Amino acid sequence: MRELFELVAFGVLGVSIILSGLVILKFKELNGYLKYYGIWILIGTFIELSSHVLVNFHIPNLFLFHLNALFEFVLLVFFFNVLFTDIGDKGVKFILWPGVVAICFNSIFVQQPDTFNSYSMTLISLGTIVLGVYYFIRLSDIEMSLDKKLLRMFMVGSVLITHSSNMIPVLFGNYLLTVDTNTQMIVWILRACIILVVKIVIFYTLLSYVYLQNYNDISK
Amino acid sequence: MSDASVVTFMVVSMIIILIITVSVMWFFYHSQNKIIQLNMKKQASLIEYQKNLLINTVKTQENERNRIAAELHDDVASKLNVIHLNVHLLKTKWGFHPEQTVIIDQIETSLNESIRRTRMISHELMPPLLKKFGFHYTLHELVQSVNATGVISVLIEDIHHCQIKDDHRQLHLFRIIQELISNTLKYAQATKIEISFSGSQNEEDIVLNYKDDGVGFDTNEVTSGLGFYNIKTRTELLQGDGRFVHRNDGTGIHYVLKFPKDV
Repeated sequence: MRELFELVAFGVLGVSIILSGLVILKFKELNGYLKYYGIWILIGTFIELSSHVLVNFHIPNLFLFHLNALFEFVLLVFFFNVLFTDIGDKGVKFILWPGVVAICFNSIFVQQPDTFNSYSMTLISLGTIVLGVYYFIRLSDIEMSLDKKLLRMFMVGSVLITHSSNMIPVLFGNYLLTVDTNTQMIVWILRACIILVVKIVIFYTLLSYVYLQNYNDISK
Repeated sequence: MSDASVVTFMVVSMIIILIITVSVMWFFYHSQNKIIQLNMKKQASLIEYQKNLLINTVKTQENERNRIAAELHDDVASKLNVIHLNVHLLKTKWGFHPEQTVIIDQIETSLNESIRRTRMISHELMPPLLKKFGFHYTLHELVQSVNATGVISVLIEDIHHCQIKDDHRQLHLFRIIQELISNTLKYAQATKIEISFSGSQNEEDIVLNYKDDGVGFDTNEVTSGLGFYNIKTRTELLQGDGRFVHRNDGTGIHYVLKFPKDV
């Protein structure tokens, strides 16, 4: 089981690095919400890579998830803020500071950096799912070209799938750590498989859209 | 609950959430596709409506031209002929003072000119030859009348490639060539026009090549003007594709029109 998980996790890391390479190469050309999306990918890859390295050196890596929660929350707020304001809706910046305070409060007083920050991560996943689904509902009413809508659908959809597959494992994260390794591996393998597929789809989408001739028109 | 049951519950929950998320995306994609298809249908019917409107406008225009041409030819020109005849009779049968004869001569000359102009306008409005003798003959007649001015020489080549059965399509093509010649005469300061026809490789299309050796113009800026609008409209009615081609030697214009023989 563990070997299989390591194989899939290695695959996820590999695709993440390639994806990050694409983001770095084309970062200047990323417009609006795609810029925040790119940074989200870069930070995700950095955290993933760092946690792999720390595990190999037998150094506790749970504090990385606390940092990741904070960065991810801020980036997702900016990401959705651009998306909602783009379609003429009220932005979501108003949740930025309450969220940051809640995440910091959780990391300092409730689930300290030596434990898994399941509350913050669950909150982020839940918030992302709510915002993502609401965005889909709003987007379906807006007049926009199919190309533009599809790019948004893939980008928001990838964030949505990532977080919906994350929500259950992070909610039961601390419990899972107490379960027998082989049994908990089933959950991690499933999660890693979903992330792998999502990252491949993101890579393909980003690659095909960024190299499209009318990319500048559809990404705005 | 055992660990295995909890993990099973988690896996099932993850799969259910995943299915719901993918379903939301699929539903979104499907509904958008439907909306887009509906919009495309609406646009297609709007284009169809505009096309029909265009066809009807041109038809009405042609009918009106026909009516005015007939009125001019059958009514005005006939009456002018009768007046001319009466003036002639007046002059020959009655003896007049030389000063009066000069005035009658002037009236006769003016009448002749009026009859000639009326016929010319009538023929320009609706070429009678087109219906009687067909496209080839009418085009030759048009070319001869332009050549007769001595200002410019028009050459037609391979006209046998141009075989159109439909009267309306013949008229559209004739009007396009008429408009092109008219533009050359007005603006190009050209001395030579070449009109040639060829068949496409599949023999289903006819290709018209129109060239003059005038001063030319920027082909990218040719978008406005009634003349070019007429050419464009009639090209659409012919279901053809017409465009100005850049000439390497930098002189004159080269217009290529490709259209199906029959629709």
